[in-house]
Amino acid sequence: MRAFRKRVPCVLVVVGLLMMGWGLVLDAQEPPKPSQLVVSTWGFNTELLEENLAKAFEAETGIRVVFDFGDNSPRLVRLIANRDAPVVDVVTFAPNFAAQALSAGVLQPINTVNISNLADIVEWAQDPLGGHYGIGYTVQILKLAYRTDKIAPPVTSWRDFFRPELAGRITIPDLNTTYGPATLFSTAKAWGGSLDNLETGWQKLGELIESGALLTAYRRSSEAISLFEQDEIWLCPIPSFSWPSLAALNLPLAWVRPASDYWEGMVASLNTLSVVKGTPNAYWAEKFIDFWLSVETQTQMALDKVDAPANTKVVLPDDLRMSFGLDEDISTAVFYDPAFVVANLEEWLDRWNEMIAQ
Amino acid sequence: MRNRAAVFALTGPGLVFLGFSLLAPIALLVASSFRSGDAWTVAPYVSTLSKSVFRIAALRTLRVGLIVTAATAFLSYPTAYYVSKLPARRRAVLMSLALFPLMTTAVVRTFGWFVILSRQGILNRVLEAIGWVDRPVQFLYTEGAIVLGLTHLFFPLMLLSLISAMENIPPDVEEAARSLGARPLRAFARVVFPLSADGLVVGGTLVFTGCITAYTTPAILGGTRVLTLATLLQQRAMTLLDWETATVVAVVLLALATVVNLALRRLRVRGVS
Amino acid sequence: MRRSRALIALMLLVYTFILSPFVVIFIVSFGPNLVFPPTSLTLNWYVRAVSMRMFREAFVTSLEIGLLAIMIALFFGVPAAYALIRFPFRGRETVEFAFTAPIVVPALVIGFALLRYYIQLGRLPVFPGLLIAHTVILVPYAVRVTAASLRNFDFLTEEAAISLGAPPWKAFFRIVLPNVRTGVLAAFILGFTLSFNMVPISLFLTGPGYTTLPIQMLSYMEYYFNPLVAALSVLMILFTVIITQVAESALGLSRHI
Repeated sequence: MRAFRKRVPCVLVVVGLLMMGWGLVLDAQEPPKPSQLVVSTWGFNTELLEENLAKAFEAETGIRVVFDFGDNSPRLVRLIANRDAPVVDVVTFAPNFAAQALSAGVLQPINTVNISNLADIVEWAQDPLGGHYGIGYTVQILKLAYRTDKIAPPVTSWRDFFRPELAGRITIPDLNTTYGPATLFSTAKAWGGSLDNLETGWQKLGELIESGALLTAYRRSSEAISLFEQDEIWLCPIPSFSWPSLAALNLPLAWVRPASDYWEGMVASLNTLSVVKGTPNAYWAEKFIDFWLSVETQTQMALDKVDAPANTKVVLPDDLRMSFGLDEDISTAVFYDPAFVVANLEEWLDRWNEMIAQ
Repeated sequence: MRNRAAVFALTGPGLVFLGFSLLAPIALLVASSFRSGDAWTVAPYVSTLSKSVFRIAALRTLRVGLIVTAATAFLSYPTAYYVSKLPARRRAVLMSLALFPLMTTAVVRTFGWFVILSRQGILNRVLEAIGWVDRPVQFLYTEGAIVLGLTHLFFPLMLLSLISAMENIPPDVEEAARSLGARPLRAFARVVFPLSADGLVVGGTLVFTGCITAYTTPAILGGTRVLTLATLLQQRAMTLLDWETATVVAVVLLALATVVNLALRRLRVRGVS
Repeated sequence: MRRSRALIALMLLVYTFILSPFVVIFIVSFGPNLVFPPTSLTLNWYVRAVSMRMFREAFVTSLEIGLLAIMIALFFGVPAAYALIRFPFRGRETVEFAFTAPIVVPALVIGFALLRYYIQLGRLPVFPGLLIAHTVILVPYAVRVTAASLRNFDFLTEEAAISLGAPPWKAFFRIVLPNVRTGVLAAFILGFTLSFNMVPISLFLTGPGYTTLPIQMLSYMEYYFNPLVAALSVLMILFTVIITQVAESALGLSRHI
C-alpha cells in the first residue's frame, strides 16, 4: 500500500508533463474545444436547427451546440446585458439589429482565415456590415400575403392595406422588428412620400391605427401566421422564412410582390452570422459559422424550407426557389440601409409606441 | 439567555439569506429608481409618468384588478356557501375540483382560454350556432380576455378563503336566524356575509395583488397592444432595453402590492374579531 | 337543507367555467390543430413533446431547481418555524413578518431586481440566480406549513426529554422532528409544485441551457400555435397530480394546507 502511494505521485507527474507537452503540440494546431458552444438565433424551426446544425456539428467536431432562442430585440438586449461576461458565442441578426449590435460594441470581427466557405458566398453577402463583423447567410424577401378567396380584386400594393373592406383584417409588423421600418418606408413611398420625408408614412399608419383597421401589430411572424390560421386576418407582409409555414396551412393564399404605378419595390434583407465580442471560443465559433455556410448545410436548410441559401453553389428545384421568393429578380429588391435605421430608431420607437398604445 | 442564543442560531441563517436575496436587491431597485446618471432625482418617475403607454397600462392594471376581484367574489360566495353546506364526501370532491387548477401552471390555464376565445374557438362557434352573432367576434387580445383569464386563474384562491371563513361560522348561528323566521337569502345577507367578511378581505387581497402582478395571462391573452404593468415591465426591460422606465414600473408594482397588503391587513385587525 | 334550483344551476355554470379550459386542452392535444372539436385523432404531439430536446432539458432544469429550492428553503425555514413557535421572544412578530415577506413582494419584481443587480452588475451565473430566486419565493411556505404543523405539537414531550438530560438538539431531532415530519413533507411537495409551475420569477432569470419548463413553453408559443403546448400541458398536469396524489395518500396531507 505504501509503495503504491509513493509510485502514484511519480506516475501522475510524468503523465502530467506528457499531457502538457501534448497540449502544446495541439495548441499550435487549434485551440482546445469548449464543452459547448452557445448560438443565439430565432426559435423558428427549432427541430430542424437541432438536426441540421446542432447534431451535425456535434457529429463532426464533438462540440455540443446549445441554442439561445428568441427574437432579435431580446437577444440583443441579453448580449448587451452580458457584455462583460459573454454567455453567447455565435449570434444571428437581421440587418437593423446587426447594425445596432455593431454600434453597441457586442460583436467582434471574424477571422476570415477560418471561414473556408467564404468564397462560395454570394459576393454582396460576404461582408455586409464592413470590417468582417458579419457574414450574410440567408436572404429574406418581404412580400404581401393575402387570402385570395376573401379579397377581390387582387392585392397589388401597400395601398391595399387601406381598403375599407379590410378593416380589422390586417396586421403589420411592429416597428421594433426586422420589417417594421420597411413597412413605414413602403407606406410612405406608396402614398407619395420618400425616405427623406417619412411624415406621409407616419400619418397613414396613424390612420390605420386610430380607425381600428389594424387588428394588431405583430411582434413575430409566427403571430401573423397564427392570425391567418385562425381566420383573424386576410392581408399581411410576410418574409421568406415564414411563407412555407403559411403555405402549409392549406388556405387559399397568394404571396405577391407589391408592384404598381408608384415605385415601391420589393423589400429584401440579409441575415448575418457574427461572433460575439469577448467570447473565449472565437476559433470554434468561426468554425461553426463556416459550417453553417457550407454547401451541405445551406442545401439542407433550403430543402427543409428553413432558410434561402446565400451559398452560390447550392442548387435548388424551381418550386423551392419560388417559395423563397428567389424566383423574383433580386436586382429589383430594395435593401434598406441598416445604419439609417439605427440612427433614427430610438426616436421612431418613441413615436410608434405612443401611437400604438391603446 | 439560552433561549436568546437558540433563537439567534435558528433564525439567523434564514434572515441572512433573505437579507441577501430579497432585501438587498429590492433596496437597490428602489434606490436606483431615483437615480439618473450619478444624480439623485425624480426624473425617471416624471419621464415614465409622462409616457401615455405607462398611464394606460397602469389604469388598465388597476381596473382589471378591481373587476376581477369583484367577479371572483361574486362567483365564489354562492359556491363557497353551497360547498360548505355539503356532506363531507361530496364537499371534498367539489373542493378538489375547484382547487385542482392551483396545481397547474398559469401557462396551461391561459392557453386553454386562448383556444376557447380564438375566432375558431368554441365560444365563437356557440355564439354563431345560437344565432347571437353572424360572424366571429374578436375576443383575443382585448382587456375582456385578460379579465376572463385572470378571473379563472384566481377564483380558487377566493373560494378557498371564503370556504375557510364560512367553515368557522357555527352552523347554529344561521339555524337560529332561520328559526326566527328569516328567509334563506336574508339569513345569508345578515348573518353569513358579515361573519365571513374576513375571508373576503383575505381573498380580496390575494386576488387583487395577484392580478396586478400577473404576467402570463396578460401576455398570452392581451398581446403586445393591450399592456398591463407586468407586461409593460417585461417589454421595457427585455425588448426595448429601457432600464430606466422598467425600474420605475417595477417599483410602482412593488408599491402597489405593499400598500394593498398593508391596508387590508389593517382592515382585518380593526374590523373583524 | 333546502336546495334552490337556481343555486344548483349556478354551481353547474361555475364548475363548467373552472374546468372548461382543461377539458379543451385535453381534447385538443389529440387533434391535428387547435380547432375544437378536432377533425382527427393523433398522438403525434405527445411524441414530439417528449422527444424534443429543448423540453426534456427544460423539464430536467425545472426538476433540479424545484428540488434544490425547496430543500434550501426548508433548511432555512424549519429551524425558523421552530424558533417562532417554541420561543416567545421579543421581536417575534417582526421576524415572522420577515420570513413571510417574499409573499408580499411581486415575484416579477424580485426576478427583475435579481437580474439587474446580481446577474448583470454582479456577474452572478444563471443557475445560481435562478435557484436563489425560487428559494426566496418558497421560504414563506416552508416556514408557514412547518409552523402550522408545529402548533399542534405538545412541547411537553421535548421538555421532558431535556429535563431527563438529553441535549436540546438531540431532543429536537429525536422527538420534535419525527412528529412534524408530515408537515415538512407537505411543505416539500407544495414547494416543489409551486416552483415547478412558476413563471414570473423565472421570466427574467433564464438563460441558454437553463430554462424552466413553463418558460420554455411560453417561448415555444411565441413561434408556434399548435397542440404541442396542449400535449405538454396535459403531461405537466399528470406529473403534478401524480406527485401530489402519491404524497396525499401516503401522508394524508390535506390537513396541513
